[in-house]
Amino acid sequence: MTVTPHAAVLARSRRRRQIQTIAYQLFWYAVLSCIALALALPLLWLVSTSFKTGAQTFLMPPKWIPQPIVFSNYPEAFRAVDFARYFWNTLYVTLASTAGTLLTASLAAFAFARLRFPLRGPLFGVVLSTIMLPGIVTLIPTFILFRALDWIDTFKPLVVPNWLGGGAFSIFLFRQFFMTLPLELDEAARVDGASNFLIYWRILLPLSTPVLATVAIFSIIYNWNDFFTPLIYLQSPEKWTMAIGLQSFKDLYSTSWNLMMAASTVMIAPLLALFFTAQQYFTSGIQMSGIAGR
Amino acid sequence: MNSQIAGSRHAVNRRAFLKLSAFSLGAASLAACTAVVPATGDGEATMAPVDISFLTQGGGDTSFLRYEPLIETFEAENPHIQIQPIWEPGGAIEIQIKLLTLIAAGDGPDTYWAHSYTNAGQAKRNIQMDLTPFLDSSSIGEDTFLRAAWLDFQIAGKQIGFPRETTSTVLIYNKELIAEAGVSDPADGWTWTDFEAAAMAMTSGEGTERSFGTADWNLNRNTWIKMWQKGGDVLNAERTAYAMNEAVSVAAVNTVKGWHEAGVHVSGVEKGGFSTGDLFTTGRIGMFPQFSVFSNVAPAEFEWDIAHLPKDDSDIETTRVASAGHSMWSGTEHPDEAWTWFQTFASISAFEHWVSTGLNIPSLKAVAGSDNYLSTAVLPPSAQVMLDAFDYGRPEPVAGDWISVHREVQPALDSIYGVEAADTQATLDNIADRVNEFIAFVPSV
Amino acid sequence: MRRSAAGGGPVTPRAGAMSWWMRLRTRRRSLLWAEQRDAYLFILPWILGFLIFLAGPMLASLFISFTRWEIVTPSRFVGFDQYVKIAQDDRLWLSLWNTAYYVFLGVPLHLFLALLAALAVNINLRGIRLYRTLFYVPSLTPAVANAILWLWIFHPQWGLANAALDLVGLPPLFWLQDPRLAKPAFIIMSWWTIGGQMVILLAGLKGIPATFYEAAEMDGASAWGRFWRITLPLLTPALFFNLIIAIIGAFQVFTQAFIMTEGGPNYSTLFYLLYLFRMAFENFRMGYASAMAWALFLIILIFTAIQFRVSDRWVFYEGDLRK
Repeated sequence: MTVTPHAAVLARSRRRRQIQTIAYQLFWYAVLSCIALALALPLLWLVSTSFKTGAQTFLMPPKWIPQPIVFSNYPEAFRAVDFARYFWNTLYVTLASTAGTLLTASLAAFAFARLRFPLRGPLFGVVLSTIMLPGIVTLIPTFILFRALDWIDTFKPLVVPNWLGGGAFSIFLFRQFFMTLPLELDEAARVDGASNFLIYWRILLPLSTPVLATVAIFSIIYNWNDFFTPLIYLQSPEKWTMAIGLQSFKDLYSTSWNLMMAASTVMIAPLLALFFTAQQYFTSGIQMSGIAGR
Repeated sequence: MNSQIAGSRHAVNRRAFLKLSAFSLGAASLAACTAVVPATGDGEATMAPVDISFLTQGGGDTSFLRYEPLIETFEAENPHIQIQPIWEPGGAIEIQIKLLTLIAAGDGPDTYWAHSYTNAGQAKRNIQMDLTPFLDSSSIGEDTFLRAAWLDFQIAGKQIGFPRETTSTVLIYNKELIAEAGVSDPADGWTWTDFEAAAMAMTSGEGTERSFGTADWNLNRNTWIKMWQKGGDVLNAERTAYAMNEAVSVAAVNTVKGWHEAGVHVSGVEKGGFSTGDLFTTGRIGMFPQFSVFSNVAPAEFEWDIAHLPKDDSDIETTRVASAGHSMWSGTEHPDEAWTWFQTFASISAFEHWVSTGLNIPSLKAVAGSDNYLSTAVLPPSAQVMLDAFDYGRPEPVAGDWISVHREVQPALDSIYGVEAADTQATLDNIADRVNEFIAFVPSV
Repeated sequence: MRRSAAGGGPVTPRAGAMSWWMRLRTRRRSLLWAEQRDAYLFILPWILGFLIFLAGPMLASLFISFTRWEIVTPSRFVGFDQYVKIAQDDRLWLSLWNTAYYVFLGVPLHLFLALLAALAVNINLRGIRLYRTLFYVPSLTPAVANAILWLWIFHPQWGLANAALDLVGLPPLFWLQDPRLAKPAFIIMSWWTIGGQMVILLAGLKGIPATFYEAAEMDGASAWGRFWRITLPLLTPALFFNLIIAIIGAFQVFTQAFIMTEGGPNYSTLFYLLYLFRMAFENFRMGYASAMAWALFLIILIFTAIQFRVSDRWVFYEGDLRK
C-alpha cells in the first residue's frame, strides 16, 4: 500500500468528522448539564440543608454551602425518630405492594389489550374512573370498610388492594404497552396451540421488561413516599413508615427543617440508587428483529 | 420476513423478572417478620380493665415523652383503666381529620388533643363533652388556669376542655435596634405614637438591605387586636353577625394600612413567604406582635425582650390569647373513667412534666408563675409580661365554622395591605355575606 | 442470536394440553367463549379489588352527595340540593376556573417538555444514565422539601427566578404574591416533575425497533422525517397515557397550594380540591364536598371520554384489536 494524496484528504475529512462528533457531544453535554443543574436544585437544597445548623436554615440570602458544615443532624434525626424500624416497615409495604401490582395489573391489562370480551370498553372506563373521584370523599367510607375487616393498624390496607388489580395507573400503563406489541405474536402462538395464559406468560411478559421496570419504579416510589394512607390506617408508632417519620419533625409551632432534610436524604438515597441501576431494564428496549408480514 | 424473536434474550429477561419477584416476596416476608411486633396480651384476667383511648399530636420521641410517663403513672395508680394512645403527627387539621374519621367509624377517641383553631366548629356540632357537670364535683375550675386560656376552652356556656399550652400576644423587640434608633424603651409603656415614631426610626435602607420597623400586623389575628383596642370586633357582641366593616374596625385596619404605605411595615412581597422570625433574627425587623413562642427567634445573636402592646389612653387594654389543650368526646362510652384520666390534664405534676419536656406557656396557674418555668432558658427577660397579659387578654370571638371566617378575612386584609391596596371599606363589606353564612350555619340534626 | 419462534423456542405447550386445545379450536364458538372466560379470569383480581375496596366507598360518597351529612351528625336525604348549592357558589366557580387554567395551560406544556427531555436523554452519550437520574430527582424529593425550596426560588428579593430575569435585563416579578402570576408560577413549578412522564416516554422510545429506523434511513429519510414518520407515531400510546393521567392528576392539583400558598394570594391558587378539602374537613360539610367531588368526577370523565374518542385519530397501536 502506498500513501496517495487521496488518502491524506481522507484522513483530513476523518479528522473533521471526529471534531464534528466531539463538538456534537460537547453541545449535548452542555445542554443536558444546564437542565440537570436546574432540575437537581431540590436535591442540592435538600442535601445542603441537611448539613446546616438550625439557625442557618433560613439565612437570607440563602447559602448553598453551609457554614459551618454540621454532620450532627443525621445522628440527631435518627435519635429523635425510630428510623431503623420505619425503614423495615416501609420496605415491607413497598415490596409487597409492588409485587402485587406487577402481577395483577399486568394480568388485567393483558385482557384489556389482547382479548375480546363483552363490556371490555365500559369496564376499562370503570378502571380509569376509580382515579377520577377525589379520595377526600371516600376516605371515611374506606376507613369504615377497613375497620369492619378489622384491618386498622395493620399493613393490610396498604398492601392487599395492590394484589387486587394494582390500581388504574399501572393497568393503563401495561395496557398501553401491550397494545404496541403486534397481534401477530399472539396469533402465531395460538396457531401453535398456546393458551391465553401461556401467551401472557411466555410471549408478552418476556417482551415487557421495560414496562415492568417502569411500573415497578412508579409503584416503589409511590409506596415509599406515601404519607396519607399509612397516616390514616396505622396507629401504633412501631408500625409507621418513613414518610410518617418525616412528618414528626414538624411540631405545632416549628419545624426542624435541617433534621427533616437529613432524614429525607437518607430516605431518598435508596430510591436514587435504585433508579440509577434499574435504568438498564426500562431502557432495554424490545429485542424484536422482525415481525411477521412487515 | 419471518416471525423472529430473540428467544434467548427473553428467557433471560423472564428469569430476571421471576428472580426479582421472588426476591421481592422473600425480602417482603423477611421484612414482615422483623417489622411485625408480637402482640403483648398476657396478664391475669381478673377484672377486665376499661380502655380509654387518647388521640394526640405526636410523632418523634419528644412528643411521645410528653405523654408516655403520664400514662404510666396513671395506669399504675388506676389499674382498672388502660390508656390507649393514638399518635398523629401533624397540626390541628390533621388531628381533626383523624378525629372525624374515627367518630364516623363509630370509634371516636374518649379523649383527644384539641386546639383553639378547631374548637368552634367542633363545639357547634357537640363533639366535645361539656365538662361543667364534672367540674361541679371537683376542685378544678376557673381559678386553676390562666383566665383567658380557660375562656378559650369555653364556648356558648360549655366547658369544652382544658388548655394545655397557651399563648398571649405581646410586642417582641430588638433591644439593640431600639437603642440605635434613640427612642424610648417599649417597657416604659408605649402609646401608638411612640410605636410609630420608633418604627419610623428603625426603618432604613433599600432593597435587600432594607430594615423595617415592624411586621405581622397584616395577619388577621394581629389586626384584630388593633381593632379590639378601639372597641371594634370581627363579630357583634352576640357573635351573630359580622361587624368588621363598622367604622371603628375600618379605622383600625386603615392604621395598619398606613404603616404599609409608609414603608415601615414589611410587606408580603418583601417577605416572600418567609417567616417574620427569620427577618427578626437577622436584624431586619425591629419589633412585631408575637405570640409566646420563642423557638423561632432563639437563634438571634442580639439582645431582645418583650413588652405589653402599645396602647393609647382611650384604648381598651387587650390582647389575643390562643391555646392548645385537651377535650373529652361527648360520645364516650366510659365518661367516668375518661374523666378520671382527663383530670391528669389539670394536675400540677402533668404540667411540671410538660415544662421539663418543653412547653409554651403552661396554662395551669400554679405552674405558669413558678420559678421552675420562669427560669427556662428560652424565655425573654421580661417573661412576666406575657403572663400578666392573660389578665386582660381574650380569645377570638369564635362562632360557627370559624376556620372559614379566618379564610375569608385574611385574603381581604391581604388585598387591602398588599400590592392592590384595595379600598378598606369596600373590601370588608364584600366578605360580609360569606362570613355571616359561616357563622349562621346550622348543623343538620 | 436469533431463534425462530415458529419451531419451538418460548412457545412449546405440553403435548397433552396441545391436543386438548386442538379439539377446542375446531369449534370457533368455544374458542370465543374460552377467550371471554379467560379475559374475565385475567381481570378477576381487579374486579374483586374494585368490588371489595372501591365500589362501596365510591357509592357511599355518591349517596352522601344527596344528603346533608356533617360527619358527626346523622345524615338527611336532600335530593339534588347540594348540587344546586354548588352551582350557586361563586367561590367554587372561581376554584374551578383556577383549576381549568392549570389543566389547560399546564398539562400540554408539561407534556411537551417531558417529550423534549425524553428525547434529550435518549441520546447515546457516556454518562447519560447520570443525567436521566438527575432529571428524575425532583419527582423523588418529598413535597414539603420542594415547597420550601420553591418559596425561596420565587422570593422577590433573593430568589433565583428573579435573579434569572435580572440576568436578561428584565424587572423582578412578585411571583407568589401577585394574583396574576401565582398560577403561572405553579405551572413553572410543575416542570420540575417532568421526570415521571419522561421515564414513560423514554421506555416508549426505547421500544421502537431499530429496524424501523434502518429501513427509513435506507429510503433516505432525514432525521426530521424519521422523527415525524417513525418516532412520533410509535410514541403516541405513551403520549396518550401521559396526557390522560396528567389531565386526571391536574384536575386534582392540591399539595403545593395546600403547603405553600393556602389558596392565596386573593384566591388565585384556590384550586378545586383545596376548596373541597376545606369544605369536608374544616367545615364538616361532607354532603357538599361529596357533591363537589362527583361534579368533578363528571367533568374529568367527560374530558377523558373525549380524549379516548379523539385518540382514534392520532394514537397508533401496533397491536390494536379493532384493526
